[in-house]
Amino acid sequence: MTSTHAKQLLALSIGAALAWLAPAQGAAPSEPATTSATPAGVARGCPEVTVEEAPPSVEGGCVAELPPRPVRLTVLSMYGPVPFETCLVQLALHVSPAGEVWMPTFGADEEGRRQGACGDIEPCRWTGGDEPIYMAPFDPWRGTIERAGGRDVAVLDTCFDTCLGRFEGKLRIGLVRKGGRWRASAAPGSVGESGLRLEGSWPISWER
Amino acid sequence: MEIGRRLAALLLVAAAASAGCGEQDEDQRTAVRDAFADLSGALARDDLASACVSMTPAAANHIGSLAHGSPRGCERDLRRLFRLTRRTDPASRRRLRLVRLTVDGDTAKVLAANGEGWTAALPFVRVEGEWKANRLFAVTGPPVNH
Repeated sequence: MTSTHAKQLLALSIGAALAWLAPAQGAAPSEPATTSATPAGVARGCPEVTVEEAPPSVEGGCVAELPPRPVRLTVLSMYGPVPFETCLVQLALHVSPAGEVWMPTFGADEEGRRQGACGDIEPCRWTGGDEPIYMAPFDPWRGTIERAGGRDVAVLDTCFDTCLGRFEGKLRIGLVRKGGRWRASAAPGSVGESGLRLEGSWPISWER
Repeated sequence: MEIGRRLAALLLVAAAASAGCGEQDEDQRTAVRDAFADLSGALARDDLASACVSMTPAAANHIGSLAHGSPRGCERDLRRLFRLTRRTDPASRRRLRLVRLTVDGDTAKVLAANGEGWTAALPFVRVEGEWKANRLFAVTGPPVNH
């Protein structure tokens, strides 16, 4: 065998190795198409956000207040979709000019009172690792504003501690302006690959 | 010339070793796929005894602990879960489809989807050589009791 042959054999072997690896790479979790980390429309011109760690607090930015609205929560299990509860969910988003977003408020009540399964939903913080960080009081969820499909989407690292267990992952909440009015929508918004799904929408009142 | 022969021999040995590992990995992937199919099939036809065999004790305990309950035996706890989920449309209980599988030693994650493309990453573990579901839900911890 000449050294040229050896090089060819080596190149073929590397090629085969890469081809063998390719399916594993293709199996990685896929993100929705056409997303961009560029600060999006809702972030433009927003004031800076001030975040305090202890005690946790978020001030400033463009503030989107999402009043209590019914949100249906369902979990996909090995058994199929399992209805969890329909809860009145209240949210607030603080958007920085750089397109960062914080959610310092998450309330899930049933008809104004914390009862039933709705009262069993406690927000925790997920940072992408194996274990969530428990917050007491609730530490804000963090994320970014992204562009997806021509609209702004708040993408937040979320964690829900429930009587079924902990569900963690990225939650996408669409922010849409139509006829001069803003609406936020999680329809349906799945919490990463946890199987937890939120379906609901809210009118937004902005403080900019 | 001699270097070329040695390199070729080395590559052949490496290729053989890789093929062996690949076969071993593929065997495990097939075993997880089978375990997933066994459990989803058993749940779809309400064959509780078979479903319980396809789960770890941790998964069975988790089912018993759901919604502030206490474990009282796998089949009984599964029946209670089914009652809790009686609002579920029976048509939606069709078997989930396996869309992605990752195996890491004795643990595996099955990304399962229903007909709408709704997904959940379900954990499996290998116990004494057999793959079993470690949860019916894609949760990372036990249920809380507030």
